[in-house]
Amino acid sequence: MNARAILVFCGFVAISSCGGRTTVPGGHALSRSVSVLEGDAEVRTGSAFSKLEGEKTGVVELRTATGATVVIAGVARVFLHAGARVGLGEDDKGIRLVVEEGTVRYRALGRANASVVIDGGVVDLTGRDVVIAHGKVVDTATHPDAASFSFAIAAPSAVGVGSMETKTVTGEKGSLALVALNVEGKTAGDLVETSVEHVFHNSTDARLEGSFRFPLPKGAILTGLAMDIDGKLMEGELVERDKARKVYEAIVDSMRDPALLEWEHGNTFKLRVFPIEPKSDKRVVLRFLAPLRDGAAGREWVYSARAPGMQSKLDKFSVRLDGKGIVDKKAWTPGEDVVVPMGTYSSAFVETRKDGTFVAVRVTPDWSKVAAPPPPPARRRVVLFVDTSRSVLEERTLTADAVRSVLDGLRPDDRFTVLTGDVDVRDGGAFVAPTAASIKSALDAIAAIEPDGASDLGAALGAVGKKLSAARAEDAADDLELVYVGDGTPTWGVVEPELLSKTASEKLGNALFHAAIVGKGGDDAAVRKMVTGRFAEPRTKEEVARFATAIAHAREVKRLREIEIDAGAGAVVHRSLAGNLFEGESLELYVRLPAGAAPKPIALRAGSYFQTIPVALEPAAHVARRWASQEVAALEAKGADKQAIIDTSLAFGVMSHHTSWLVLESEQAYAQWDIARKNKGESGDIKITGADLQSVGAHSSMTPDHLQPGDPELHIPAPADARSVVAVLPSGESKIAEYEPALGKWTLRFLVDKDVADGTYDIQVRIVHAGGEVELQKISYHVDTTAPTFAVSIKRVEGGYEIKAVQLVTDEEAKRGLPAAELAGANLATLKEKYAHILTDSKRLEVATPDGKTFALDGVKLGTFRGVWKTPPVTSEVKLRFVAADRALNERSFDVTVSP
Amino acid sequence: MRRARLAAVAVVCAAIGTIASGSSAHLAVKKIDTEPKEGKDKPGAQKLAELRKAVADAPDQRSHRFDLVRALIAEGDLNGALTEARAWRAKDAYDLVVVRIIGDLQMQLGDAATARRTYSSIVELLPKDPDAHRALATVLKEAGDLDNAFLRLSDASKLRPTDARLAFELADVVHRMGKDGDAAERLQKVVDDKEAPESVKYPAKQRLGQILAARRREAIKAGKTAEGADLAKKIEGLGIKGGIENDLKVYLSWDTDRTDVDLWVDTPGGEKVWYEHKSTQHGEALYDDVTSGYGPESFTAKKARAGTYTVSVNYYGTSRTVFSDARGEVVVITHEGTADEKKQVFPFRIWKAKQTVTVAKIEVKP
Repeated sequence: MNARAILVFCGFVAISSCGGRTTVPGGHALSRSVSVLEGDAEVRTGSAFSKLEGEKTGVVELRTATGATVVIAGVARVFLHAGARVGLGEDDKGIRLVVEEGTVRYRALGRANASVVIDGGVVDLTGRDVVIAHGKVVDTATHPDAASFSFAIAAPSAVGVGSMETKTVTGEKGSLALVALNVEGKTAGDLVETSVEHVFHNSTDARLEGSFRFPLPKGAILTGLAMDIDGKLMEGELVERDKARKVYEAIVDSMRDPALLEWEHGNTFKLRVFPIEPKSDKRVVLRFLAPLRDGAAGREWVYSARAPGMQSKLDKFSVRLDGKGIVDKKAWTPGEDVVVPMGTYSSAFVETRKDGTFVAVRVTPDWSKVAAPPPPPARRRVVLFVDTSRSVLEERTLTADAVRSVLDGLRPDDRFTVLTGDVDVRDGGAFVAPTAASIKSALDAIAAIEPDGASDLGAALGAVGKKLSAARAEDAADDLELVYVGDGTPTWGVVEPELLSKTASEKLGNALFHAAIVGKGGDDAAVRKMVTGRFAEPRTKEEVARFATAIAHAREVKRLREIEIDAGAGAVVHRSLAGNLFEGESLELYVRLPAGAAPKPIALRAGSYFQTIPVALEPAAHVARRWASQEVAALEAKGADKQAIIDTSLAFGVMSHHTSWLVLESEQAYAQWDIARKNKGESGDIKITGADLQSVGAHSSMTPDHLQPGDPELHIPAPADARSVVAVLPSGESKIAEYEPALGKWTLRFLVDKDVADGTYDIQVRIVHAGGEVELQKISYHVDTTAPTFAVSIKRVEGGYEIKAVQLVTDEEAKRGLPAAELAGANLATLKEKYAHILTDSKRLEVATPDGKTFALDGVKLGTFRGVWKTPPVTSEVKLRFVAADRALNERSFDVTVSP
Repeated sequence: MRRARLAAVAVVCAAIGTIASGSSAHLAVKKIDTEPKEGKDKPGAQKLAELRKAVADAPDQRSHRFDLVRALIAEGDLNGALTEARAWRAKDAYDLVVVRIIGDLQMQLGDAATARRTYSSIVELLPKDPDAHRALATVLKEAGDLDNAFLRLSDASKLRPTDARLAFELADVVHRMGKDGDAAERLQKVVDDKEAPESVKYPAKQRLGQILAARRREAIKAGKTAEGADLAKKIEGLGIKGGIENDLKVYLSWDTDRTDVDLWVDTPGGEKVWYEHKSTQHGEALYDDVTSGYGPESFTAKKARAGTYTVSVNYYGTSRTVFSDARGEVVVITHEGTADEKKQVFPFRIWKAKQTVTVAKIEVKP
């Protein structure tokens, strides 16, 4: 159907605008009443506008300054973007619209005739859901993103950025806030290499271990982890998971500095960090490749800080892309994603390595050559399956939003039923019409179930299959659909994707299977394999609404099924979508060709549709990693041999469920644990980190770095375009820093002379920004040449000897270590308490037993270590050798005698 | 049907077994406790009020929550304990100790289906963590749900395929499910695994020996002497110290790695067999003290002496697991390797390090 045909059929009635007032299109005011559902709108029924309250009849014009949803009784919902103005009228052909200003979405609720006047022509709107803007009518079926503004009229979802759970060595639980979040992006082909610096602050007096759970964006690939250890940014390594955990825990036992990043579930990762010293910051940097997103105006980079149930405020937040500042805020309240338009990008990339030629291609079919779908059946019967397992606990609101959006998208003649399930499945009863009462009843039933238990997807498919069979028996002409809302991860009963996919084919027949992955993250390989309809991983209310819009029209748009890809001999191909490709969507292909093979055109076939993708490839980094990420996912989904998964993961530097990122405190530690170094980064440098630099927000507070005399390097993360960065050293000498593009930081090296006394020293930093503003900062460091001393007590307990060691800080040591300005006239005992986190600097204490074994004592609180030497009672005097080290790496050895 | 089976198993676990065997000794096995005595005394209203106040004052303190729930259980107020445990879980969604406590309470209150749902959330939250699957298997075994225990251990084993202890545990569950042939094959794989530690291989040999001995008895009974001789040769090839016919055998296993749980057996001779004193002058012996995994440790009395054997489990200590409690089971086998062989399983839960629970006593009469 096209505009010209409508023009002839409808017998267009002209409209005109006189002095900004619309003449009623169609000639008559609306006979149906109009009411406002959300937002504020004004209505004109005569010569003047008035606020739309309650129901109004005789409406000829609507307008809104802020955005509104308006209902035309029994006919449609009209969504008005802020600033929109719409003329309304009616004649014997039905409702007439004209969009005078702005953007409007018209969503038919039934089959009542309606049309819109566009540039002198008329476009039929009967039964349609469209966005009208700039003289164009766009179907939301093919462009759900175009309707995004209409979802945003509702209140935004809860958002946040993540927080860290902590526990002390004695198991006391707590949490640490993020104080700064700094995001650096660098474009690489159609990806953005994203580096996110998290700064946590421990304001307590306890040494803590932290666990930080965070989600990554859809499609992101984790490529690195680094942690600040004593002023050095140590880069992590990808290590086989069991080994990484073993090393981490052994090191934590000895109170050194590891960080472990494990893939917990779906897109959720868990970072464990130890120790987080009292009254100090912990800086952790995550690196990942973020894909660009399709936006209404082209591709865009999105940094999303939205994660329900998490932290809602940050002291400092900055985002930079390719060196340019995008966001730089203090006391920031996360409220929306950071979206950066990226324009158009090449859609085909290649990377050549010794182990293969890798290609990444984005394919957009020529939809004009794809056959139109048959007219959809008059009535949809939808089975909604809602996951009530424990993993959706934190996403109950989003789950309810998804259910509501899907049910709101049904038409009056459609029917639905809701099943819920976890280890057991609950039947929601017979199919019913989507009335306000039935939708509320369904939502209430879901809300009454506290999420708990595991997910038995096989049982869910069985129950849904029975419902669909009953529906087929009732009316074979109905369109049958399954909408799954849950985390998509089978954890009970059958869990193998292949087996579940087979079950789905048997149980669902020709019913379209749509899935919205909502929950703890979703390891959704099984559901991806089963889906034949629309698939989404929504994280916001707007995204679930977009999903609901897409599935409401899934039968109406063109689609390619059973897509076959031929990339040449020996090619291993992965694709972004396993099921059908719907009009408006693109398909991403990741191809590995044998080493030395030249890429050839890729053939795509789906039924009678055929397309050849040319080989105009642009060289780019990370193409192999993108392929490997898909390869690892495929291997895991089919339950491949663990070693094969680990080998692929390590070879390409992409994470799997069998590998983890591990950061150790030094190069020696990596060597000791036999972990090959691939990502040394800047970790070989000696560095004092910058602090509280408001231009970049790298730190909002400073832990003095503990170091011995030498020539450390000072890194100042000021903007690249700063006019100058000058440091005034404690000696009074000024040194000019230089910008190092490779590091993205300003650096200078200075000398801490071997005769410098122990103590705390300050460096003043002066940054002159590009705009001329001057920023002054202070960075402190702590010179320490004294090894720690301990008082040790040992007593016999059942099964061994309990050892307790407490670090001793003499008054002399305290005087040497404290800032001179603080000492004058102050009470030393008070100062020792105040600066305990600096003075009590022991980091580890190990014990060598007479049989040659070594074990580390647990640090139970600042400067206090405990442990048990598990041994039968000694029968003669034996010596235990203790080795202690502090944060500046001063070491002391001493012996303690144990008597029978 | 599942509920009925769970109840039946509970009865079996609580039973007192008296065995009149074909061997000379008469062994009677009596269940004592599943939990340590500490914290089981009724706390009284004042103590409960203090604990409630402590929780109200510091709602994030896990130890206060734990103490209150345990006190309510000791008081006999299971519904109150369940309410408090749920309130704890609402604040501490990722703590798996409270998940298992809630499941235990639901079981005690007779709601096995809800308990299963609760327990199962452990793997929902940690689907890729073999320790989580194994911990869930423990409570499922305790509840008698061997089918799901098998699935959980299978998943754990897939996630950590080189873990010989998991393979051993799987074989043991298969054996309990009555699939002796499958169990024997699995145990043989553990025995043949060059990478498996001896501390797992040896108990695997012992269990395999039991299965082969049962087959041998059946073969001899059926007059298949050649087959019996062949099986005898296989049993001998296992090299089990003292052979497979023993008056008393005790196995201990527990459910999370990086915890150290010890088997203590007080013998009629007044000796305590444990890792510091592994054999008695009468030949009773412990094999093996395992500190790096989760058992099994085993105790053998070739010839049980008249008197009482007291079997206890001590929770030596833990290090950084998601479960701070130690759970597991003690398996007592009497007249091992004979026609009168009988196996009884005694689950235990120990909440804190340094606590001890006496799980069973075996009275031996000549």
